[in-house]
Amino acid sequence: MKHRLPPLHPLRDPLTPDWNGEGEPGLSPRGCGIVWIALLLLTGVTVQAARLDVSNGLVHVFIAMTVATLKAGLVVLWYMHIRYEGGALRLMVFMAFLFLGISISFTFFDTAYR
Amino acid sequence: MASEYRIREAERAADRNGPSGNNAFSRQPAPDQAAWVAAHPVDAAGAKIGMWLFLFTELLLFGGLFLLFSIYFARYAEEFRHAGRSLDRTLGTVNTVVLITSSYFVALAVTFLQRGRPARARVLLLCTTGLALIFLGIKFHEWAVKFGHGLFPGGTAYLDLPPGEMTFFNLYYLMTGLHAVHVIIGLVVLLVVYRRTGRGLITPRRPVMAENAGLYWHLVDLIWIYLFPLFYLAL
Repeated sequence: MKHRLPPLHPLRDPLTPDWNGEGEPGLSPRGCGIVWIALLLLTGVTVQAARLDVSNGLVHVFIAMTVATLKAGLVVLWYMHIRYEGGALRLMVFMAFLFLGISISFTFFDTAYR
Repeated sequence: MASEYRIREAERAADRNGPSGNNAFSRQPAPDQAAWVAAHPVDAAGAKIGMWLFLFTELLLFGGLFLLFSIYFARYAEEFRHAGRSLDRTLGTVNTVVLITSSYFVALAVTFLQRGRPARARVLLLCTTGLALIFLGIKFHEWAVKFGHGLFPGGTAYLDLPPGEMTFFNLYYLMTGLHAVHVIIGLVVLLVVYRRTGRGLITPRRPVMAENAGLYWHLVDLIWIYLFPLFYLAL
């Protein structure tokens, strides 16, 4: 059984000797580092925000879930490469998270204000 | 083994010469591995969509538990807050940083693999498994302290808890326990990727298994991103 990998453009082919990774699409090592720092900063934000004295406890829930969703967005878009994927996969993932978010948040607000 | 030795030599050469050196890409699989590679064609797009479909079922699994959490949190907000304060916030924060950093290493490993640096990717994968072990160690310590106080399902102190707080700890053990199981599975998967990359079965041209293992690991991180504020920050 013969299998042939699809041909790559020589400059995009990591196996050609003069390939040096320049202009390679996708997540760069630098991009990984920037997202990592952003995730650490957001972790600091959410820990500090939990110490704030607020009259209504729901403010804490709102801040924590907003920050968590920002962090989740960074992970999904960059680390999980959704930014660099085609439209079909992007749509699939977006819809999956959208419906999950709707079911959980609507249930919470329904039971919280009943 | 001679072939393993040759691969290690080639990896050292790869890291010495950098991506522009000839040796970086001269590492071909051994003949039997080449046959294996030829006999196992990869449909990268299909594999990736399949992985995401599996991740959606994982989201359903955890999503159901998050749904339970939201319902009981709305009902027992004060008890949840009180019980949440008894968790060690510092250890929770440290574990968050550990897991985020491990995700960073995996993302970096996949990037380096895609860019033709499998040796560097392997080092990063090992660092990730190290961080995963640290995470599990801290988790074990937290559970052990709680168990020492009789705070486990069926324990003496546990049965005296008010209903809302008991629900909190039920969900805590269930969700962090299920998450820890996922960390253990991810750890094993990453070690398999480490080994297969070393044997030349995962290469810069066939990185999809490493990419999918990375997706799994990031999902584990993603779930913890929500678990941490819900349980440790006493919202």
